[in-house]
Amino acid sequence: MRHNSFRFGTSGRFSRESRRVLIAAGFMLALLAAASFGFHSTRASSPAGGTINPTATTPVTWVGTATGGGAINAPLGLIAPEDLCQEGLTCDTYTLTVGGTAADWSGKQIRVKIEWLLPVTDFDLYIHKDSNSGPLVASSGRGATSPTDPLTWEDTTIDPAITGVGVYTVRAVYYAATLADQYRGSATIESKPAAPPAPPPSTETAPRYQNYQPPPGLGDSAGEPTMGVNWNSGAAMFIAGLQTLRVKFDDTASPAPATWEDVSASNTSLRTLDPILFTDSDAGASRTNRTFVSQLAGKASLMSFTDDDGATWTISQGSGINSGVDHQTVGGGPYARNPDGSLKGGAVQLPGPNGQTYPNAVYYASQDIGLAEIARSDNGGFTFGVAIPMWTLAQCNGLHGHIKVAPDGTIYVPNKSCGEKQGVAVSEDNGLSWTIRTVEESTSGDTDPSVGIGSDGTVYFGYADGDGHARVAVSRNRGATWEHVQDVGAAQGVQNTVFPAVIAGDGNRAAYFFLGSTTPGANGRQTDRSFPGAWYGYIATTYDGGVTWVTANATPNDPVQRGVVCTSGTTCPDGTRNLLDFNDLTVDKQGRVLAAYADGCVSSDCIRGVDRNGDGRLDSNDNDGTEKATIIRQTGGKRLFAAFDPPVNAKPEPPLLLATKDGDAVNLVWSIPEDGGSPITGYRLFRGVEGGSESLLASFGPEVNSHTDNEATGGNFYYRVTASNANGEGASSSRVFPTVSESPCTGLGLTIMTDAAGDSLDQIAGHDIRSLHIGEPFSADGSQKLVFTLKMTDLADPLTPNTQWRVYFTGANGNGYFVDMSTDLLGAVSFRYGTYIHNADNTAGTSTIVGNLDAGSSYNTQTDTIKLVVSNSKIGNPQAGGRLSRMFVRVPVVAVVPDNANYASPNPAVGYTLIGNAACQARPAAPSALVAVGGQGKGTVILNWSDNSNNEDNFFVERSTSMSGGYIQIATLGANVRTYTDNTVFRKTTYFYRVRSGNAGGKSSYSNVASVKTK
Amino acid sequence: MKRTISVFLLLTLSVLASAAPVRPRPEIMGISLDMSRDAARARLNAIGNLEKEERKRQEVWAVKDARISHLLVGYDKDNRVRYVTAIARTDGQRIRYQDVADLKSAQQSHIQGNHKFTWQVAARRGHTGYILVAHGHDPQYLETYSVKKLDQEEID
Repeated sequence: MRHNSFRFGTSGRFSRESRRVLIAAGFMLALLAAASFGFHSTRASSPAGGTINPTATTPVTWVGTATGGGAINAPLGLIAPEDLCQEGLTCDTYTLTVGGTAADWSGKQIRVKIEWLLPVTDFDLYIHKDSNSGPLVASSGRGATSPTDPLTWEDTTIDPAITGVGVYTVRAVYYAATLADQYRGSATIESKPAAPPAPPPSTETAPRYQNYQPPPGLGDSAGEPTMGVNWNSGAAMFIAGLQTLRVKFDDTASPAPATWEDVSASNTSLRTLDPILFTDSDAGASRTNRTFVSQLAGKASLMSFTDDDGATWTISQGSGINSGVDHQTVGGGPYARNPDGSLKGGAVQLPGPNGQTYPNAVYYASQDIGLAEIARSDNGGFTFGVAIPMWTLAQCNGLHGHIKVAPDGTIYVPNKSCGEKQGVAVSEDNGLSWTIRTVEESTSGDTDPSVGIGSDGTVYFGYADGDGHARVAVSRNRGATWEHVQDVGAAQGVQNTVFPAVIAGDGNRAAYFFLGSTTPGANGRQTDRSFPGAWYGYIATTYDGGVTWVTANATPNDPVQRGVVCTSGTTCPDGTRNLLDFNDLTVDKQGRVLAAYADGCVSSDCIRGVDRNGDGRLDSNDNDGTEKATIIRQTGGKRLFAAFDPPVNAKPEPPLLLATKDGDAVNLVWSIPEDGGSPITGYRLFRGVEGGSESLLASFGPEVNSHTDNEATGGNFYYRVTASNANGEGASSSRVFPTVSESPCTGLGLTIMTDAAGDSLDQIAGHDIRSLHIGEPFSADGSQKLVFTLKMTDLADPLTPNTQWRVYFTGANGNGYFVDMSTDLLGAVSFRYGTYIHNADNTAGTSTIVGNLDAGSSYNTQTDTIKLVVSNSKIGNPQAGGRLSRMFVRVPVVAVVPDNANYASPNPAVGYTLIGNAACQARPAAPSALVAVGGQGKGTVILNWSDNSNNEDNFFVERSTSMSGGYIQIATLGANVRTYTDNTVFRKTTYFYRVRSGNAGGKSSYSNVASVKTK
Repeated sequence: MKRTISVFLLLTLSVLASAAPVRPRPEIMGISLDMSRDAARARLNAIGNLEKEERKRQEVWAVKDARISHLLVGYDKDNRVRYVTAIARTDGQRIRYQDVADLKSAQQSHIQGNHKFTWQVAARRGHTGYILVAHGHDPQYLETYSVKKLDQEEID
């Protein structure tokens, strides 16, 4: 693995190939020399190791002993990487023991250097902790050298205050070296260089964010996503892989619930290569909100555009140029104009497919044949003109960031390496001529930089600097000069950065999204699977033109990635390039920031940081390696457009309230809404009847976000909830009526299967099966019964004679059973059960009637249902947990069967798992009148309460030292118990208690809270 | 007399040859399309120095030539030359578009100081087709010219 440190624009350096030839002879000599001394299976440096203490004043030194060869033996394209070198032959190791404690090394560092004599020789230097298979701590691998620019050393530093004391292995890789020019190594203590001045602190409060992910099946392969927002509809458009997704946010609740839909265009959902999406809403009043999507292809990109958020697409000609080998990008915006209003560069707007003129220029850029080229469309992306070179590989890196167009039509295409600097290619004449403008303070980086342009043309340039830090620069003269260059990750301790993405709003406001890790080391961005860092999504925001930035971790407690984020393209090890090459950032009409990224760490274990392979560190082996689409959306704080800033003393926004009916109870749960910058102090829950009265149902502390209303019988209630903070009570949630969730205990029970309407062969609606349901309504006598309910399209009297409405299934004991309603020749109705043996070839089997079903079996022509009640004992006596499977329904009429459901090759998964009669009993009423008093002893509390139920099995006592939360269950008591003595309390402490009852059907709501201060 | 006739014929052939239009060639400075990476590097080492490597098997070579400052070389997955691009010196001996190939057979575009000539050579008898592209801002002299295989695109 060579490090990308070739100097730009120099000549006369020795190439690697020429050095291969030069060292070949030397290598042969070396082999001869080695043979004369005899080979060793492994060989260390001489001496093999040494110790350096914090107070040492003289360096430790050693010399190499390997025979050399390096690149000669390496396959083409894999030039002497460390993991391929052979110890004693093409690499050797010096073991450096660092003494003292980490604190002893404060302000100091160890410079490790290897030197040799000849410029044609080349070694690389790698330093690991503990052993050569341990974490890579530092490395140095500069490239070609020449007699006119001799480079005869590699050096790097160790900071034991960060990486610890103990054993380090210093490994020299003989990239192009022989015994004839052996290296000399040294380790010297030096003072740590003074840290760069800290960026000026911001006085602003960081905005707040919410992360959104689509349901499974959508956005599962979402590396390097891009996105835009239609400012008219508010829809966010997102592309990654083969899917174009439309995301709608409902801002009537907070956080706004999101709806994700796949709206992929036909020609961008077939093959995926560097997909890109651009919504023309970035700059200027001429924004059209047209969204373009494109997939990289050979001759022309596969491109479509939509004016209705993906409902319909128009297929474009595509790039019109060879879209080339890598990193296409699409952008657009106003044309640059001459003072007289004409378009610069002689550009002429053309009619689009609808005959209308598109107001903006649309640009497509990619690289091919060593050139980065750009083509302009003058008809809204329908066709593109001739490609114009922006730069060559000799000038800049081939890859580039995304096109941005300023309100005045200036075009910017960012690049991570132009002459060892980062910068932008700028065109002020609608893409006809280009100038490269770099940031002097920058150094070449690993990932594409990004540009955001304010409404006044201020350019914000975000880049992952060569040292891995997230830096930003500001220009007010189209990149000619830059100011306010600073590390926006410093305040958060970010040491490593990838995937910068910048967006601006008002001229003095911009946001910068990047993935960052507080763990240092370039290996975190390269190929080292043992990199022990975690990566999070950070968003830095400026409100003063880039003078100061406030930075927030927008994915707190949930890493985007554990271990390395490999930026080495197709040479990355498996599972390290899941995030691919870039992310995106945009802004909506109200100035909210939205960031798009792929989440590589989605499982509970990964998020919590479980050391899955037990190697003692969290690295790539503990990452999921997923690429789940994710959008970060700003929920609070100042916006990128000052006109939409929330008021200073804002109240909480309306929570999102969900209500589900569970028997007679209603379960309510609500979101923690945007708090307006002041912590939530509590919630109030209201219940009412439409057109009638409304009352406060309960008040809660800030930690409570759910409630069960056990007194919801007798009315069609709605619910609403409000949140409060120090500024007052916020707006209410919407009124919500409970939805009914299926329960085997209530109603028809669970839906087991459904069948199409109108598929009865005889077109008799009474033979047309619609659905089958099974329930276990509670029986007070403890009997175990199942209720099968068949729903038909239209069950009418008189029922057709000689007909069976029969449900077949395999019992929990493996035997076949049926239950049915049938009519005889005269139409007389009976309800029966029996056994059934299904033929192995799925043809009709043999059924035997055993007897009649239980009382309660019936049919209802009003509800078009047939109710079949059967005691469990009649069907093999299945118990709770037992499963009835391979269930199907037939409706035979004499010799024909006009309808059936799940009959042909019955799906064995169709069935029902019993929960048992007890589980369906009503939950007990809540206890009340809880009183807590200090006991006789100094370490006891006595509780008393009223028992309001006659069906409880237990009472549960909970305790906390805070009234509003933190309760833990301290006792489980039997039925009818009304008192409890807690003798596990500390003295002089205030405790809060609450009690609830429970049975197999569930637990009651809580009693009142009682408190007491112990003696 | 025979000698006079021979000299005359030689001169005639020379004149005809010099007047004949330049045909597109699938190579630049000895770097041919489909050449192996080893062979290309041997040739490139002889005429210049590797400046940097890029993703997608691309290399930038500084070359010692009065007219060309750099060669950009891209290889396919089989490590064979996929394209070569020459960067012309602007401060030395200039290269005219017609030095690449006959302009009459080129597809041309001239847009506000951006000139582009493209020649396409179809595949024949086991030889892959290829394309030549010359770019420049000057109407006479080019800044880059490239030769690239037509049978594949390298977009992995």
